[in-house]
Amino acid sequence: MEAEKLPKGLIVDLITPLDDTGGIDTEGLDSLLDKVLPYAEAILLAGPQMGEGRGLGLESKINLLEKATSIIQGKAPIFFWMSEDSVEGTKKVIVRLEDVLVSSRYKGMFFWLDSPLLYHSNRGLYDHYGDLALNTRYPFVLYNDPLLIKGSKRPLKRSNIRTKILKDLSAIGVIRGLIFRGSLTRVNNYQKAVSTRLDFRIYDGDEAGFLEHPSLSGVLSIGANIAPRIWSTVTRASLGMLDEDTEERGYLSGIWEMGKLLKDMMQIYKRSPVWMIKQALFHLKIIGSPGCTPVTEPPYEKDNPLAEFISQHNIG
Amino acid sequence: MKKRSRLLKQAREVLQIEAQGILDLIERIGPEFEQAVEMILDSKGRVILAGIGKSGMVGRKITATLNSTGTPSLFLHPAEALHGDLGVVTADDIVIAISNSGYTKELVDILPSLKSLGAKIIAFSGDSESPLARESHVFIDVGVEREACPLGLAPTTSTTAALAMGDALAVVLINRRRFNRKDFKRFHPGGSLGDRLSSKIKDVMLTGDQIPLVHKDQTVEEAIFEMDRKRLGASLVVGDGHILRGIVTDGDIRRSLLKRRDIMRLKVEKIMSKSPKMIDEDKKVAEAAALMEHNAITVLPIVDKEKRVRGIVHLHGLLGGKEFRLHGSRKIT
Repeated sequence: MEAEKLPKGLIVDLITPLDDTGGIDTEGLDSLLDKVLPYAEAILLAGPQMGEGRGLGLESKINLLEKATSIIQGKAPIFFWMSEDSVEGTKKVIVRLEDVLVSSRYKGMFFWLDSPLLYHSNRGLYDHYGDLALNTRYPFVLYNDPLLIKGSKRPLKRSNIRTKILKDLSAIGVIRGLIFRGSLTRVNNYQKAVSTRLDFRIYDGDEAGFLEHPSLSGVLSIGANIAPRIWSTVTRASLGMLDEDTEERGYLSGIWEMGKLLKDMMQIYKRSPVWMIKQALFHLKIIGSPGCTPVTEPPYEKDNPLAEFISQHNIG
Repeated sequence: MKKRSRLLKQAREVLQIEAQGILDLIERIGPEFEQAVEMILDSKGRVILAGIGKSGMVGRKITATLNSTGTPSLFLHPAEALHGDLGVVTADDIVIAISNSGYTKELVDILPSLKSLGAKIIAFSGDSESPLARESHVFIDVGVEREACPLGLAPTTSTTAALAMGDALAVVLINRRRFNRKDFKRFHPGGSLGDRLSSKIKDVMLTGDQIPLVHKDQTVEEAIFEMDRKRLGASLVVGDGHILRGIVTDGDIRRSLLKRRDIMRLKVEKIMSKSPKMIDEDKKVAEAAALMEHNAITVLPIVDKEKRVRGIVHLHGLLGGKEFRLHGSRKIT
């Protein structure tokens, strides 16, 4: 295990390729990782949005982690979303997945991604993480997504981590950062709350927000499943990580065009991102099936303009 | 209307993000800043700013701020430095190198040379583990969490943060050096020049006893005494009723002496210039300055419509080289 700082840049919110029986599509996972790994600073597995983490059972998660770690092999840090509907359920996932990492002697960087408000109120979160940390050797990254909490089976009164609570949590060394979805005002307050913790990163969990006002920690991207190279270039440009002469006119127009392309693509998949992106990846023969878990409902329109867009713009 | 409100919303977001960037610096500023201040105060050399692109522009602004607040400073372009400009750097200098990423190649490339010259380096960067931060004697964190510009096409919050940190440095140095208002004016001779040029002559002219003035029937010797007392290098010559008749200058006296030695007892009207340039007191200072420059003269009589003497101005005084008293007690310096 490497207890290192969080990466900076593009985190791919990876879809979970499933075969026709609902099991992990190993070949599809291999092809997809082969496509995105060269451009990703980190990979999120079983994420609540694209990874369909809420629809994957524990055995599927174990299977996914086993297969993904054998492919990734430390080439990029892994974030794994492990939240369940209860503290006990969450602990159970941690313990079982930790066994996978330990038994495979996984050497790469690994972080638990947790949405604590799915199973715990703001009150007592500090102590909760003290307890949770006893069950694992791996650090945590928080995931604040009010829509996810509001859409849960038992939504709490508060759908955001309270700023004061975040400030307290940022004092816990094993909590390394936060992926954020929500308002600009809230993220500014969060930023202020954790500002004394220099290694604490706040990533944008909302692609559209990142393209407007980029967080200099990076972004959790959905579209990178389809266009990892373009997303990587735009992210690196936004973070000042490109080597090109940024004063050159061609550079600026190039980045602008890429940004516009990503925004146009977002407009297409924003209503049903998992379904549309899986369909498109299936169309591109990267995954063997467009199958989704039951939590992902297909849209009313069965046609997929994303595949046409990809073909038109020669993406993928 | 909808479009307008969206524009304002976007503008407010940008301001909010940039303001937050600076607010975060308040939390993070620490002993390194104090170290940088002490380093500059202890230095016998200058503060040299270096940066590329927008960071270079920030560097230029900080240079200007430091210069105008009593800290000798200059800007060094890293690319030019590699082609000979490093010669301006001495062992006594402090170099403030600005790069948000801390990886800017041209800047990183000159660090070894700067160090070998003996200069101390202060890094303004957002990455404490960057080559710039590692190679510097002092690292000042100017990192921000978010840029305001879409796609990061131009650095926004990060340059604002670096600029604000530069201002913080300059202001702290002002206080530590006990730099006062008088010093500030000394470094800003042009600061109030615009105001002065647009004001009226009657507001800046010398009046009353300050005017070097002799009657046309007085002697050259008396005129020299008057010129010596009033120290303008000239004296106005008037007839009855304070009507301007001419002007006598140091030059007139020199030229007369070359012609004949016994000029002291001559009436001053014998050696004075009889058609001096003059101007109305309600004209602008800029017009007086232009008239004087055009005619290569340094003093200008101020008269009313009847040519009665109302005052006098000296070119240096007009442009701020000397104290001029306004009507009342205010001074323009």
